[in-house]
Amino acid sequence: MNRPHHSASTDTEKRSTFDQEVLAASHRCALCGTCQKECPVYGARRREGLSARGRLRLLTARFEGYLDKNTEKALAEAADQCMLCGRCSKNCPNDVPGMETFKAARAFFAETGVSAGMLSPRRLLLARMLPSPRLFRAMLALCRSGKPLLDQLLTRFSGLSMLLPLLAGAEKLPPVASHAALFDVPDEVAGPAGAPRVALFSGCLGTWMRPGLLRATIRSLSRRFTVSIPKLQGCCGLPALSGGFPQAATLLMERNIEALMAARADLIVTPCASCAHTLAHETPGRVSPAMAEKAALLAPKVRELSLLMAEEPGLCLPAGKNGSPVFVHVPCHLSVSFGVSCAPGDVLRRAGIDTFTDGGEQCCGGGALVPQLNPGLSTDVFQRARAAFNRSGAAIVATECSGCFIQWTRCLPTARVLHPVELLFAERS
Amino acid sequence: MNTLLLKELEQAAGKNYVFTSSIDRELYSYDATKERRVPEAVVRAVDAGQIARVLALCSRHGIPVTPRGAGTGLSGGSLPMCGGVVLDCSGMNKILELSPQHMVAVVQPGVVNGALQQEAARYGLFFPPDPASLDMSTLGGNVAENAGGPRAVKYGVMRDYVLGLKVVLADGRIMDTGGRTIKNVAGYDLTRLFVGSEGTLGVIVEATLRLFPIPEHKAAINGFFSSARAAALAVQRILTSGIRPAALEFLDNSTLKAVSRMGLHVPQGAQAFLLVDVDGPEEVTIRHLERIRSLMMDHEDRALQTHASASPEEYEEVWKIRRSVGPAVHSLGSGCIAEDIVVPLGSIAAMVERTAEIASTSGLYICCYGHSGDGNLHVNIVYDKERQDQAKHAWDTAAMIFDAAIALQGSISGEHGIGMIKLGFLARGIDPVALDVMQRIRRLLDPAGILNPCKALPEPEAGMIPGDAP
Ligand SMILES: Cc1cc2nc3c(=O)[nH]c(=O)nc-3n(C[C@H](O)[C@H](O)[C@H](O)COP(=O)(O)OP(=O)(O)OC[C@H]3O[C@@H](n4cnc5c(N)ncnc54)[C@H](O)[C@@H]3O)c2cc1C
Ligand code: SF4
Ligand code: SF4
Repeated sequence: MNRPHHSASTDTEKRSTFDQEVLAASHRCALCGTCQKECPVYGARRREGLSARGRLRLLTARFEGYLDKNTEKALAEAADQCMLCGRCSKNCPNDVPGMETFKAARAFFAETGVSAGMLSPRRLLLARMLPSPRLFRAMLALCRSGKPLLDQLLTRFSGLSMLLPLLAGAEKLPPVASHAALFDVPDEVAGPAGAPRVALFSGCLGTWMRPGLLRATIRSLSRRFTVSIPKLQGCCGLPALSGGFPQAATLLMERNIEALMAARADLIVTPCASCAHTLAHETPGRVSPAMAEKAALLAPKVRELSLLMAEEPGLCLPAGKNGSPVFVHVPCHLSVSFGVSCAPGDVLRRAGIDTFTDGGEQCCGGGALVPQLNPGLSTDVFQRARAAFNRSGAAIVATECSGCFIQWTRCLPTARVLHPVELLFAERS
Repeated sequence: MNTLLLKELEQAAGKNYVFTSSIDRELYSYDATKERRVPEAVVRAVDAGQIARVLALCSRHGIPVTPRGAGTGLSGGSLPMCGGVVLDCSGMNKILELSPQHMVAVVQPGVVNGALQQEAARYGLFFPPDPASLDMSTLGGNVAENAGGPRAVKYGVMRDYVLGLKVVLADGRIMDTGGRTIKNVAGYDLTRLFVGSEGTLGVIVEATLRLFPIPEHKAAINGFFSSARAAALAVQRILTSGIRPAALEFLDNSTLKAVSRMGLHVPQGAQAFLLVDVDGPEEVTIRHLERIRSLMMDHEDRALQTHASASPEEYEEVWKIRRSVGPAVHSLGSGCIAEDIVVPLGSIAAMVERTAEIASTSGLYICCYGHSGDGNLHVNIVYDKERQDQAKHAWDTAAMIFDAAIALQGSISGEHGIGMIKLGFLARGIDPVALDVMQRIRRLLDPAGILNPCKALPEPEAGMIPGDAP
């Protein structure tokens, strides 16, 4: 029941679609090396195999038959050594879709690996946590009729249940609740009379680990908007996608579309950059044709909370004098996916907080399951983020992504890691 | 490589720094020429001592060693043509010293040019050599290729900025050349000998580089012309006007067509494009820009239109067409011979015209663009890689371009080097006595012939060098 893949096509067919994708990318690639420029993993270790150029060359060589037969596992690992941050695709002068190809590679090796018995125990563990479509649909049908089941379903398939079990240093994180905080807040919080409507997409942190983030988000949003909190929402699907399980991700995405459509909101707001990226950029192309139209309607409405706060100063409160400065870590899913690198720092500065920002140039190594699949590499990538933090003299890190939160919290236990909205709407105990 | 040798190599280099899996070898089998040559082993360079041990061992056993920086070369310099070892220097990437007082930087070979630029900028300094690959190519590779970029017209190329080197010789000895002074005439200029030596004379393990203060202000102007000749004449006028532009770039008609295919606007009737960059105090750049505009416009062969930058955003906009040339040309065909001939400044117009003639008789699509301020033109010959006959035809055409450059007293390579790509053409553009001296120097420094063999210089005929068996 735990085997997550259900496509009827044979391995050979899959191989050929994947190889076609690789060859198309490789055909465009000039081997110029420009993709090394901002690549966080290449930058950390300076090994050709960590750059998009190298990884793409390997996948091409595999197709061309240049590699030894026993290299599949090493190639799968190579695909896992990518942060899926998108800088290579963004910087490539020849429009080679590096990140997209490596995402496809993860799915390909996860799938063919299962059938070839190659799958690593770690990957199997990931697979176990993902929904089997049959079970998932059945539970979903059931839970539409009652809250307790839904809460259970949400919790069973949360992104955190994928991210945490394999993570070194997970004990430094706040404990995970056994029930979703979404059910502790109303379905709707009214804003000022005549206010536009937003649907809040909470993300895994707000739902299970940091209810305070969920509450702060609602407090901020309700200053200007009527906030709807759809209860049918769940994991955005990104961990499943990164794990190489796109079909499972699709199930999660489709459920979210249903939930968000029902909210009939003008905007969809999430305090997580990775959720925002997934809703806006991944979901429309990955759901079934029947859902695609709805997903395309929703995508342009998606906003990460910091961006909305930058656009709508009314969402913020003055913070009052803050002792030490705040280090702003801009997640890749803001800086690369949305091309935004100033907004979070701007919001805090406007509220009177001293900030240093990394301007979105420094990946923290917390994404794409790299901390779980290749802890050493993740740590190496984090070194540079840590150095920037140390130079700043700050004691607090502000960031707006679940992956970044987890990474900074476990790697830098001395610092407090918060979302900008939590700095502005601190709950006084 | 047999297991015994491999063991010795591991002892010399350190076990953790030797790689032989098919994956690791594949990863060091290419550069930006898109050619493929697979080494027998990859050694990750970590310090001079380790490199010295590896070279001494390889000299003893006659194993070829090919140094590699970032593998962005355009002449195949880092490809292991004769197998053996690829020596990956990219991990030696520390800036050892940056002295604002002496205005020098001491760097390891794997430091990326752009990383030095960033560090120098913190002290108000910059490193003038600016190959378009500066964000990824290494300073070791830049020294070895004597790289240059658009700024060469005003600031010169790598060789003008290398004050001293630390080099590991083929026999394992470590040699320091030059120093950190601007002037230094004690002994022969061995530093310059190694600049542009394409990894054939020794492995660079440290370089002392000269830095300049960042110019106060930059500005740029571009112009479209109705013929290549009109643009070339404007180049002449600008270069002889007393103004030294910081860049003077040219695009021909075929290049403009490629650029417009990428969606960039090219005005009707434009057959050539110039971009002129100036730097210095703001009041001077404003004056120079105005003067250059008039040199473009107030003449019989006037530009169709010009556009000057008034803000940093506009500066980028003015450069945009020039910056898009690489991808635009790459998208034209499956195969492309990217040449980089250079001619004396007064012969640019003649070279551009000759290239157009060759293009029309060959029937191939040829783009000609580049650094007209220093006479260095990139001639890109586009062909269908799948068709054997086309590839041969393209290379024959390239030979005609080389001959045309030589006939104008130019050279077959301005900045990309000979590598293996142009090896067969070198002899036609170089004095035979000079070639003989070069071959003897190479043999003196690398008697076993292990350093980047089959590159940069053709092999001397047997018996031509004393001590060689006839
Ligand atoms: C998009 C693009 C744009 C480019 N633009 C320019 C340009 O504007 N101007 C220009 O001049 N070039 C340009 N180049 C070519 C290339 O970037 C340069 O030749 C560069 O200097 C190569 O550096 P690298 O680190 O990639 O060296 P590699 O390609 O790895 O090696 C180049 C040569 O240097 C030798 N070498 C490397 N390291 C050492 C060392 N430590 N000791 C001894 N020998 C060594 C190698 O053996 C080889 O012969 C461009 C290339 C690309 C892909
Ligand atoms: S930047 Fe693009 S074209 Fe250049 S090597 Fe990387 S993927 Fe290939
Ligand atoms: S997606 Fe990011 S980490 Fe992966 S290869 Fe591209 S730039 Fe590097």
